Amino acid sequence: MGVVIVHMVPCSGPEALQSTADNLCRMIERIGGQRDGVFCVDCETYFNTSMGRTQHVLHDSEHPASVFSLLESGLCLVADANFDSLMNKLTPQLFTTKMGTKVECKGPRYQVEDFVLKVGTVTIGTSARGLLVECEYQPCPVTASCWELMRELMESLLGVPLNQPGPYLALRMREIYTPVDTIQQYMEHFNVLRKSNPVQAVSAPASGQSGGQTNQNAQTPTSKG
Amino acid sequence: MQPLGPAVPSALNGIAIAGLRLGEMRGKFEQQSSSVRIRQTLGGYRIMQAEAPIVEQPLTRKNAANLQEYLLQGSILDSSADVLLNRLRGLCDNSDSPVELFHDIEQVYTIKDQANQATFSLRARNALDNPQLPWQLRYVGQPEVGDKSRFTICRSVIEVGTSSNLVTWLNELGFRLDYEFVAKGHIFQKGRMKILVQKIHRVCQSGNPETLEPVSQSFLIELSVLAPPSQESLGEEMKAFADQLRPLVELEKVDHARLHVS
Repeated sequence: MGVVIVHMVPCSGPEALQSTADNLCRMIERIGGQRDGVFCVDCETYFNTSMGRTQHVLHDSEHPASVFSLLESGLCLVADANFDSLMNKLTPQLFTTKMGTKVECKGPRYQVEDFVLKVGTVTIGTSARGLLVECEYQPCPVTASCWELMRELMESLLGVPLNQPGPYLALRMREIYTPVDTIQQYMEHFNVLRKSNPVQAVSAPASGQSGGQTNQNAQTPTSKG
Repeated sequence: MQPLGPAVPSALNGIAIAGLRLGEMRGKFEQQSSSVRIRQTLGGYRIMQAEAPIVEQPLTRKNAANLQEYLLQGSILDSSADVLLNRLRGLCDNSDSPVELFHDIEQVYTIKDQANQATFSLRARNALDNPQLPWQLRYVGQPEVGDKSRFTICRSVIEVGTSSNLVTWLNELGFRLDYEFVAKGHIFQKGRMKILVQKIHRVCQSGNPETLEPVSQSFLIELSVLAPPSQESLGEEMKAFADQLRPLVELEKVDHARLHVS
């Protein structure tokens, strides 16, 4: 496991998500990406209304035997697959879920030399909300040591400047990277997309990637592809 | 995998803990994606690209089978425990290897849901002799003891291996510590049966598992199997094994509710 950065790709609207994703995939294949299956990250939110607690339960196909339970405070419990059975037991007496709030990010997975690139379409319930690109640099466990390298690849793919990583990762640049960090980055983006209006254009996230990209900028590389 | 002991199952299931055993976890992932790779070699890269569904199966295991714990309990005085240990060593698997020991702390957390006044309790367990092992979160359901045709206690049990921040996680969810104890003892395995010979200790000073006081002058013996529901033949198997331990220890189905009342 190396360092992973998850970046939201700005799109002009929900209808442009598929074409933007296809263009990105073509660009990855053009730089030598070998398609290596598919990936999925999902998030189900459980509420305990009487106690006022919220719990997000996430799964990542990169770690299929693990379940991640993320609380509002940012605390993340990593558990084995039996955690799902436990949640079934505690639902609906202690926790409840709302219909149509499950978030899923699915798409193809590519291997490009030492990098793994994933292009995922985010759906909330049944509506498509955004596009995320995950970039993993496998040989290095510390973000600060490989950020420039990853940035170069992402900038060439997306055609937009990436000045710094998201707020979560920016605080942990010199720490050893763990799978929990990937989950926290996905949660950051899922929170932004949950708040966004599905009808409106999906633009750059408020959660962090700076660079002042515009929709027009975002379309530049994809239209070339 | 069939659990071997209170904290040991989490150790064995520890491959699931991201951040703790990444190499093994990646191995798991490769196992899952091996079907895709086989298709890749057989059908060619292009074909796989066209055929691969976005996700083969959902990651959430909504209909995972709940396991039942079939349980018999008994006790033996400290003075006779060695005789029992010798007999178990002869009867159980791996009799030529040293007996496995454990030294665990178990904390029981409860939460009362104000909406429907229901109380839930979860157990957090950690190996004191090897704190690096994953913690274990356990849900234990109400035992069914009323069925006279059944020889054992039968209760729903869910065991989850977790990262070491389990106690903080429980507290943040609103669970509060009800009681805690330390169990020290020996684990044996016979087929799918697990036998624990353990001494239960009271923790005199909360938060300090060094200040211990034995609850009694006896060892608690537990014979248990985790299996899917309706395995009636299991009862016979456990009864046969329990008979081999007589008259040293009488393993019975203990009605905890009646113990509580008296």
